[in-house]
Amino acid sequence: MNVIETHGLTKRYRSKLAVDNLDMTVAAGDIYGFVGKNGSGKSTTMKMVAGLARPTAGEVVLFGDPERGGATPQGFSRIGALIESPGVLASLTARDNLVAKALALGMTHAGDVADDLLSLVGLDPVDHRRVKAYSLGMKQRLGLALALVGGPDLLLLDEPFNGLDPEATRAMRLALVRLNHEHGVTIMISSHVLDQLDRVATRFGVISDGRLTAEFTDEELHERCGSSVRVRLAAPERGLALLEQALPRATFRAEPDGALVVTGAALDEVSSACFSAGIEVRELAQQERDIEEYFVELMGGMDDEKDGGVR
Amino acid sequence: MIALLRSDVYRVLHSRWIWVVLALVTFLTFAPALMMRWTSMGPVAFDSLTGSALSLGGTEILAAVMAAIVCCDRTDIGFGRSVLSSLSRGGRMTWFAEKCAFSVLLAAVTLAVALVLGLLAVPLSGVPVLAPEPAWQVVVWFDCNWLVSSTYAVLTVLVAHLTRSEGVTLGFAVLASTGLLEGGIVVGIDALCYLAGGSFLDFSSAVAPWLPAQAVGAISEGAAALLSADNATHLAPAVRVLIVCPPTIAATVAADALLVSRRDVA
Repeated sequence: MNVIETHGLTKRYRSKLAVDNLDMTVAAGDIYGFVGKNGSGKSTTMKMVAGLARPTAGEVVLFGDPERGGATPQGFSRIGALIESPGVLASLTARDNLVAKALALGMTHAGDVADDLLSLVGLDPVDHRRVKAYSLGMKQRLGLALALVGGPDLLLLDEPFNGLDPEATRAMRLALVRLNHEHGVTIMISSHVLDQLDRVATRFGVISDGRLTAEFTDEELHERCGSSVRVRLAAPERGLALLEQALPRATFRAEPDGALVVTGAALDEVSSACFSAGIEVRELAQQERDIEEYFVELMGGMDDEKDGGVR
Repeated sequence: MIALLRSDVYRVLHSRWIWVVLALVTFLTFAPALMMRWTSMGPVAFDSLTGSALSLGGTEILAAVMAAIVCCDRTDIGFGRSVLSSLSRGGRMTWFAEKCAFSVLLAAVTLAVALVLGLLAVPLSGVPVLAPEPAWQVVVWFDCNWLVSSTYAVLTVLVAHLTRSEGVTLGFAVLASTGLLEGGIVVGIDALCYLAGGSFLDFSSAVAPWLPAQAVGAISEGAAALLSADNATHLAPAVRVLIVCPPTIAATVAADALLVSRRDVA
């Protein structure tokens, strides 16, 4: 079942088109990494999925239910969201924040729920400090705990790794994986911290200027980004056909300059295959493709890197 | 709605500001009473209970400011976003209506606390009350005060949800509940009428008796003034409060729940 389906989703703010005809699918059980530059439309898309912003056109279908979006008869959605800011009441303690939300969702034993969630995200349930004394990382963890109140089936997290130190980042990552594996929570995460996203996401969507430019699985990403062999042949089309025969397990991708990128085969295997088939080789080299580089390419080039758009 | 109210009650009771407000109201009620008792300064006797012995003056300002604090509690919109994302479409409308309902309840509790503290302070001051009103008049006086305070409180909630600005909302709460906003608007319309060839003050003389700020004046004079018909409208201020305030509250809640709830959450 698809937990999120968007059809022609569009959002316009006066003259600015923030999201443009976006068709996206997130299946149940996915950890969906949503990648894009600043201002590319990630947060706006997540707000529309969470029902916090109304689409200018198109629709969001949640849990395969176009009418009620999978809402419970008690009037609660099955979504937990942490979008843009942790959304905490700074003048209360962390526990009070969670109890207030649990009460708002009509939960009994709100105190127990709060204690469990604080432990889950690594915060101290008996910490009596007001949240305004917390570091950004602690507020982020509290924001995650708030999103988890009510046991959502879909978690929308916008930049959850922001402000976290390496230890907290790891704890957050492990918590997300545990939620996904043990509780079956589908998670959509937008993040600029690509190496963290790469470690948790099972599928990726890349958004650029409000449009979804690519969707692929974790395996596909590693096929495209791992170690590969770049080979430029005198007769690329004939050469490709012969190499496909000789290396049936390898995958081939054509570069704009006519070179072939072969993954799933070692340099000497490609070299031998070319020699055996009598293909004239003009260039042959081992190459490593960086994941970050690949995403930057998909997000529309390096132009915004100078602005801090991609880390 | 009940769950959302319970949540707001919880977070207000666990905030510091509510206890600061309570301490302030207690001090402002008991300090004058104790001064009267210890220094024998002040009136020889109070004429009536609601006109001079009890003072709920300023509670409408307090109610509006507290509504502003509840709706704009620093990052409240972030917390609201977290709650709203967990509610269905219908639940979101309820969330907006609940904020209005909570501000009305908060106004009632504030007035009730001020009334109880006032009733305790009267004997403490040692000043006798010559002609205390019957209980029903005190109830009418209290209810009118509640309706006026609630009107300002729900309007403040609407402004908070429309502007999402703590500064603007607090400014509105103070200007509206002190009557400055109403006065300014009426004088402005009067000036426009004058510039258009009409008579100055025609508009304000027709409208002013119906404004909540005028009711505040009548409330401060006591139950007798509140229940006496005046020459301008031939209606008692209490009746005018009944005619103006409940529909204004209902319209504001409806606008907040049905229209403002349709806006994108920031």
